[in-house]
Amino acid sequence: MALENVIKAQTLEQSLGLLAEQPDATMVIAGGTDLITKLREKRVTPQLLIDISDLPELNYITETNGEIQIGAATIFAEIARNPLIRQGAPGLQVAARGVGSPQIRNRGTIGGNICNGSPAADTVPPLLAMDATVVFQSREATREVALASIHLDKGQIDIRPGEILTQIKFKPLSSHQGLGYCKLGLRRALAISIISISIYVEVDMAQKCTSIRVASGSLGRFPQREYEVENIINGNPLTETVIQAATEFFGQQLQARLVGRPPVELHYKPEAIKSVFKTALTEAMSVAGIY
Amino acid sequence: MKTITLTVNQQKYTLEISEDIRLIDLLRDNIGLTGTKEGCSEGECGACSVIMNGDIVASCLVLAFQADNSEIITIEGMANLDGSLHPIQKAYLEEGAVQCGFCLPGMVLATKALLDANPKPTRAEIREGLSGNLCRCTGYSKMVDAVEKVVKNSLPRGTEYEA
Repeated sequence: MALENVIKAQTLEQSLGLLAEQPDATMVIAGGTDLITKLREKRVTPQLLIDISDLPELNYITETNGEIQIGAATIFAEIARNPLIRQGAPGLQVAARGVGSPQIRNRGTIGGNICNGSPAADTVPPLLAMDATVVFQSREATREVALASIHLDKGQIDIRPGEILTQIKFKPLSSHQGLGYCKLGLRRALAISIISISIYVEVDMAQKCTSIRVASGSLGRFPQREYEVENIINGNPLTETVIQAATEFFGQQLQARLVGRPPVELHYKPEAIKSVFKTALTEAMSVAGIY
Repeated sequence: MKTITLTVNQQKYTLEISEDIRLIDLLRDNIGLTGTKEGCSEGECGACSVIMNGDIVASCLVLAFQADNSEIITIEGMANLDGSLHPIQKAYLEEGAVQCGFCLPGMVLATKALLDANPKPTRAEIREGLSGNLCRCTGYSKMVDAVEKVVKNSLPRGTEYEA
């Protein structure tokens, strides 16, 4: 299939209508920072490409009814400077600030980051830690599902023919809650994440952890929650001993998980995870009010 | 084929383009502005950077049709109409921040985009603003010096500026 036609969409409705006509031969493009390389390498071969990057219906960050909603075509640069995100999900802002480069951040979108399905997607761990919901729309229907449920395999998410990811939403942090993020890459910019960790934590007045969600990137076929690590901390006071126990456990668990992987992962990641995990947790705790 | 209209360096162009070409192809091949360089073709080096609607972007990662109705500034748009150099270009030359020159168009435009958004950046902010532009020759420090110089020269006499 060669690219026969391109169109800059005027409305979401128009986009969904066009996508419904020939879903197998049509793709949408937003920032294009992943897609254009795939197109040139012929890893995808749509006949029709619909540019949804400028649609106002997909470009917004709002807070209503105790929820933050982000339009799927919102660029990383906007998430990186937005005050609602700074207050409601600071770890997500840190993640967005670290994506690629200024050039990438001015085009790449949070929706594209999710749909591209990379195990190293920078914004997915913080969104998982915030228990985010994603909204898929087609011409016929709207589907709301937990972000945690959409990953099928490396590079593959559960998006159906004719669907566009339109919105990401989550409950913002309130008092005694924190969100931290830490990314390890080969350099401080233009770096794919080698390990990323995002942690949501809630504490009580006695500095005991009453709720925790730990999400990882680049430690599996897709970003995921680390439930066993959470169980070590949840319900316990956030002392050096507890944190150290969780850190050691995480290292050992990775050692088992990465058996069969190349040496750089098998020998490096179980050691490197310790400081990445501690940094993300310390940041989450300080946002929640514990230093 | 597709017809698009865009403004490049304050000049309007209406062009018939192939659906699959990128903004960098349009600039270099269709318009003939070869100052924008193709370094890696995948948005990882910044050599192809241009300013699009006020923001620094990789022109190898924008499809040309997406730039319909946009305003683009390329390196050719930095110098004045009489050929005299932009203060950023002058500072880069004066500070010795130019070796082979291949990264320069992208680097100068990234500098302009940085200073337009943040006129008094710290050294760390300068480095972050240029973090999407790789240079294999200079080691970057003279470039940071050049940007500091631009800022110092732009401030009224006696203004405090600590980069």
